[in-house]
Amino acid sequence: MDVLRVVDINKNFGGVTAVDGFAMVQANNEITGIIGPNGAGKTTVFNLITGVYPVDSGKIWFCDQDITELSSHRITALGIARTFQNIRLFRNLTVLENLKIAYGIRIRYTLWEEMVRYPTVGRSEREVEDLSKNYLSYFGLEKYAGSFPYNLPYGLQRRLELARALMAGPKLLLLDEPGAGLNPREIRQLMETILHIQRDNHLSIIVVEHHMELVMAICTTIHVLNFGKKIAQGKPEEIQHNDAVLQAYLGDKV
Amino acid sequence: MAFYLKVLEITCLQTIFVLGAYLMTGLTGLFSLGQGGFVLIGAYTAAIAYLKFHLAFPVAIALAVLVGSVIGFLIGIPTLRLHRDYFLLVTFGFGEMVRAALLHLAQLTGGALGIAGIPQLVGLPMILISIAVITFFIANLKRSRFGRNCIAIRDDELAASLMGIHVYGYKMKVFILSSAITSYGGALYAFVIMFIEPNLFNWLESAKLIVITFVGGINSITGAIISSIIYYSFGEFFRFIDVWRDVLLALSVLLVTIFRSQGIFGSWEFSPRRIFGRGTKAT
Amino acid sequence: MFPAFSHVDPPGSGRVEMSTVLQQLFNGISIGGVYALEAVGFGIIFNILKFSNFSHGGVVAICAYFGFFISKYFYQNFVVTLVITTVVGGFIGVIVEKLIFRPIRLKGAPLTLLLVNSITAAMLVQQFFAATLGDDYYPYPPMMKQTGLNFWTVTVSKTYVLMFAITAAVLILLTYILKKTKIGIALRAASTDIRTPSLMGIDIDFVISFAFFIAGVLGGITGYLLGMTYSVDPFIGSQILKGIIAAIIGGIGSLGGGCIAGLLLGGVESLLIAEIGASLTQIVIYAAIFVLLLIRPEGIAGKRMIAKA
Repeated sequence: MDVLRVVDINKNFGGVTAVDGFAMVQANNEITGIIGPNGAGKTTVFNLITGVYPVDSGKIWFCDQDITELSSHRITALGIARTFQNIRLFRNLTVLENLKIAYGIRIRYTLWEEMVRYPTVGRSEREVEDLSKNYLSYFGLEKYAGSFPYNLPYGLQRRLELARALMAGPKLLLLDEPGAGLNPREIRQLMETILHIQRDNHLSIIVVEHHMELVMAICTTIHVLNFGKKIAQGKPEEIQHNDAVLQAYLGDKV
Repeated sequence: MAFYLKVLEITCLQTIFVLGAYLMTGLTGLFSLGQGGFVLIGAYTAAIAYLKFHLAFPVAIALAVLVGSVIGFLIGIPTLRLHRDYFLLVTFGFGEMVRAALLHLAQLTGGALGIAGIPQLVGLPMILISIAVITFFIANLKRSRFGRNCIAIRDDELAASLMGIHVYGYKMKVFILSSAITSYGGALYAFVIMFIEPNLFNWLESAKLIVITFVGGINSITGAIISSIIYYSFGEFFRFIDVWRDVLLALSVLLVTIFRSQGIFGSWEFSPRRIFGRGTKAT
Repeated sequence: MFPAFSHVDPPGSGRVEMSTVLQQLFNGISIGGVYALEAVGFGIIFNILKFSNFSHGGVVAICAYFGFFISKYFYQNFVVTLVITTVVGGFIGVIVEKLIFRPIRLKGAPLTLLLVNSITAAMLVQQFFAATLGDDYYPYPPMMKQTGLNFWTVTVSKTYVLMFAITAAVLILLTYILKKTKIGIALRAASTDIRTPSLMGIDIDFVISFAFFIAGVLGGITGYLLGMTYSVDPFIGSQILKGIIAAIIGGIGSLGGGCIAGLLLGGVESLLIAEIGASLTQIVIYAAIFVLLLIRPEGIAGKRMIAKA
């Protein structure tokens, strides 16, 4: 069973075609990359998959379930988590609470139990707390547990976003420019982190990125977008020598 | 002595309204100018049920809460999908609608003359117990999944929905809870001040609830309660500056927002655990 | 020429005289003009800074009282007082911006804080006037002969005609400023993206101050007209909420929509009040707004705001 099947999705914003007939298939345990010049529609694809925008046409299947019409929170509950191009951490929740938030869909107690603080609630909360602290340690963030996210250095904020996405227990992880703003050393750390989490959690991952060394190193398949259309697809070596891709990035004079 | 008791009773009742507003505005970031509408609904439902239909006092109160919650649900359906500013304005509209309806249905409500002669069946003990229970509920909600989700919704609705939070559903729960609390307070109010009329609680009073919540610190239940007590008792105890009380409130709020924008109390909460040093607490 | 219905209908028969209806309609549209002014004054700030500026009500109230004092104690002339009030309104708008919004805006305050401050400011003004001048109504001294002008069978009070004429003139002038002058274009550009004016070589703080100046001017005229027609009391600032409602119906974000909605609101309200009374009218209007927003959350001419991830 394929984790993700996207068939011919289109999105138009008031006359501007953002995504034009995009299609892809993602197998389990794969790391795929989506690249393309700025404005090519990469983030829009993520937004369409996660239900932020409705598709104009086309279909999206997640583990053989049609998620095209579903709302974002249902899609996340089914097992797709993501990070954002511009970091979207919850500024009024501590680092630890940001993690706990993502686990919310797996918490079982009800509203009434919450209101009276039924014993199950206390137990659940302790479990969530321990799990969150474990994730923090895994990402080297344990000493920031009580801080607020926007007080952290930028690189750590990105890491926190990644940790938070993982807390949701996804089968498919969408990373939107995880390397943006990171220096080369941090990029290498990020590469190892992504490979680790993929291995440890048996995840499927799709990465939108501009940092070529990252994409080429960790992705098995790469899709290239330009002006909303896919212009190439293949293994990293193939993409590196693809004329259409070079032309898209470097212009006509190649 | 009776005067001071009355002041305390009214102050505590207002604190119930502030708690309702805290849930909406402080925790979830919904700005409602219609809380006054629910006070009136609660007060009138209870009074009419007791005086005109001769229902038992507890039944009248329960009915008030029920009616308030149902109306909260009905109002919530169209309004909770709206952008924050639209929501603010339609809740204002709701408040005005309630007042207009109360004026219009004069047969039932006494119109502009209101309803007089409500017996004083509510005393300070009942009010204090109510505050304690309501605070207990809200505090529990705040420190579990519900509270985290609400703060997330307040901070970033889009990211919240992408974390699996059903934003609309949560807002509805908050709205209904808040309406229930506010209607409850309104019902008690009728049996404390013994006379109710439609102009009792207009948009300005609802606005004050929002403002007091902000001054107290939108992340702090304790702050909201303390600010409420200070404001409402202050004005009553110093009657001669009563009219200037609101001016002072407004000025101090403006100063606070300019110089300390997280509110006076920020995120600080009164916590028995912290005082007695029993284990760690993650906010 | 409308035929005049000369026979008298029995009460409760449901037949309303055409001329009465027209009169109500015209009065309503004149008030609607004021709603339109309020909607635009509110909408300008909303478009640029993306928050609901409730302090506009405070500006209206201050100018209404100011107009009263000027005309009662200094110079009982319609035009002069109007001009003075208008200019004062503009300056108060700028002062409000500098004192209440700029300090927190520069510290990167979230929009909710701007909103709370604006509500607080409105409360401050209203309660200040209630504290100092009491709850009394202050009627403006008469500034012109209360004559009626006759259009066909309709007798319209001169006050309403003037109100309509003034609001029409102001709105036309404003349209010109927004479309043809550099600062007006910068203002409109800033609505789309707050950084655009600096690309045009205009300081964004100046554009914001100018926006508040215009809103203040509109508020001044509104305050004066409201005070003149209804007399001044501390709650006059709350009257502008009608205009804000018009702004929502028209679709926040579209000044033209707000205008039309204001006129519509005035006309419809006037006719309804004549038919079913004031309190029922309020209920009907608010219920209609609920329904409208249920079907079309962005209002008549507003744009759907799309969140960007």
